Formats: sequence, C-alpha cells, structure tokens
Amino acid sequence: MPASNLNRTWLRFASRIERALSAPMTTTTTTTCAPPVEQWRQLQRQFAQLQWVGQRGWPTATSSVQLAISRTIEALQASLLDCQRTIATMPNRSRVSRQREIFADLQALCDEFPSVTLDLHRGELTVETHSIVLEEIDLGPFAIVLTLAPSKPTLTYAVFARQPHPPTVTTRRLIRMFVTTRFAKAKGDHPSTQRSPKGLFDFFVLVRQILETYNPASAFVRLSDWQGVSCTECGQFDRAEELTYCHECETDLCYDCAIACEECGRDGCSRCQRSCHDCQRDLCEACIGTCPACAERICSECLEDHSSNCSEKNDAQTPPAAQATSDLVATPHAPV
Amino acid sequence: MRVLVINNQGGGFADYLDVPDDTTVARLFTQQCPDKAPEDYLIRVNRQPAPRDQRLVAGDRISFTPTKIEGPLRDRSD
Repeated sequence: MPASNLNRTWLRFASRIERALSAPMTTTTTTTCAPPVEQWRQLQRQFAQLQWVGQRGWPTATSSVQLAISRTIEALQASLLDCQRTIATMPNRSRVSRQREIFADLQALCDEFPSVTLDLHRGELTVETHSIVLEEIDLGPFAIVLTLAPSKPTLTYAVFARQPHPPTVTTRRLIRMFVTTRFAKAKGDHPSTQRSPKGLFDFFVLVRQILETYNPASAFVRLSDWQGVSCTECGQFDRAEELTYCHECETDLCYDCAIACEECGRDGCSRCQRSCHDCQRDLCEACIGTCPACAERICSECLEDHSSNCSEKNDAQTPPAAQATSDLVATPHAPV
Repeated sequence: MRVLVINNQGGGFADYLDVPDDTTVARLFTQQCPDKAPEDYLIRVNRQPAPRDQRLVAGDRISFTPTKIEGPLRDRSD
C-alpha cells in the first residue's frame, strides 16, 4: 500500500479512536455544564418580592422571603461550583491536536514493534512483539490486538501467541492455567486501557512489559517445568501423557518407576508403596495391614497365615527356659 | 516551561507539569519517581528512548514505564 494511502487509513483510525475516547466527555459536558440560569431568575424574582413586601411593612412575609432567598443563593452556589468542576475537567485541546497525538502514537509503534497492522473494517489495530524470552525459554512473538467496537465507543484488547509454545506438560495442575489464559484474553479492563488519548503508544508498551515479566510465585506453570516434568525417581523429563503421580505424596512419576498397588491399582513411589512381608506383593498404605505381634507389614490375604505362624507370637508363648535355649538357635523367622 | 509527564507505574498519572528550563531527564525522573532506580524504567522523550542528561524543552512528552510489570490478578470467579 502506498505511504499516502497508509497514512490516510491511520488518520481515519486515529479519528475513530479519538471520537470513541471523547464521546462520553462530550455528552457530560453538554448535560452538566449548563449555567444555572433558572436559579438566577428565581433569585431576581425573590428580590423583587422582598422589595414589595418591605414597602408594605409586612415583617412576617419579609422574613419568609429572606429565608427563600438564602436557600436559592445556596443552591446557586452549588450549581456554579459544579460548573467550575466540569469546566476544569474538560479537554483543553482541540480534536485535531488529539488526533495528531494518536497518529504520532501509531507512527511510533512502527519504530518500536516489528509489525503493526491495521484493519479499519474490523476496527482492529494489531501490534506484534518480538519473540518473548523468559528464563531462556522462547515463548515466541505475541500479537496485541486493540479493538474498537463498531457499535459502542469502547476499546478492548486481547493478546495472542503468534507461534504458540505451550508447556510440554498438561498435568492436572494445568487445568486452571488455561482458564486464566482465557480470562486474560477476555478482559479488556486493565488500567492501562483506561481512557487516555495520550496513551495509545504507552498502552502497547505496557502490555509488552507485562508479557516480559515473569513471576514464578504466581505462575500456573513455572518455567522450570515448561519443558516437561521430571520423574522424582529417575529424574527423566517426560511429557504429561507419559507421567503419573504418587497418590500418597503427589510427586510426579514415570510409568517405569511408578509402583501400582496390587489391591486397588493406585500408583505410588518407592518411598510410599509397601510390600507384603510374606508374599512380597506391592501395596499402598491404605491396602496393607500390620501384624500386631511382630509389626511387619502384611497384606490382608497373608495376615491370617502370618498370625498363626508369627515367630514373635510363638516366642511370647514359649516358656523362659525353652526361650533361653531357642536364643542359641537361629530360627528361620528371625529378623535379619 | 510546560511538559507532559506520563508515569506508567501502577496508579501513575499523565499530567502537564511546569519545570525549570534547564531540567534534564534524570532530574525529572528523580522528582517524579523518588526512591526508584532509572535502570528499572523505560524513559522516553517524545516516544523515543532518551539519555539521562537530555535537556527537556517546552512541550516535550516524557514517559516513565517500568521494565517489569505484573499482569492483572487472577479472576477468583473462574
């Protein structure tokens, strides 16, 4: 597109933005800045009445009119103060100068960002950032889209990843991250978009600065976990689909390291899963029992046999003399 | 002389200020953002990056934008 046509398009967009930003102000100005002419006329009438009742020497009527005059003056003062406040908040620059500033902002955006495109038909100004790199992780470029709604004079914005580089992991902890992303895209009421014709350029810079800011304390997925989650047993990074987790301590595990409970099937890590002392089956803490005599971890299937043959139980029932003899003999059930 | 100062810090402002003729960018920053480090801000004059010792002229548009800005808070209703 030739430069003159481009400039013309941008000027039209600047004009639309300026109109959108100033429309409510204009309405306010015309409705609340009218001088209190009616109150002034009422005051003039009351002064005439005061003169009339004074000439006739009617003291009661005189005091009544004086009171009415006092009230009218108070109301008049309040109206004049409102007028003064309204005038103080009125824009003191012409529409042309505001449009010129917005146009200058649009031009400055071209120097600041690698790509600036304008869709006048859809009322969208799209500014593309450089590739955002946080903690050595390249998140790719982002598009900041400012939309001027055709039906109502409001500006909203959304941020999109141009070359999405989402985290490798999509574990259960990430569900809320996507919710938040949707929120961030849908919301257009960040303070930076508040009505300020001066701030179109600054608005895009602000959004870029937000994108370039990383706070690990509030991240739904920390950048340290972006490339994948490491198995706490073997340390290998894996995709979420290839990961499970320990139901006891909730650490991430690969399927090679996870130990499934042979009773309930839940995965666990080597620190949390137990094995039956007698049959050596792997069981979780909820499914394994304990021998009351020897305190060994025994599964429910082995518990009955174990209880009848438990050496600690038998030892407790053995007479002291026999026990002294048996101490010299290594029993097959003696703990190692 | 009169310049436009835009402070893009949270709760910042955009306003016209009267400053002495020999005011530099660094001095204005110190006045407007006391206890802040200039290296933590993008300081621009008329939308262009500016050196610390640049002298301001009437009608200049100066903006201070933090280099790091946290986004909006999470929407608890989600």
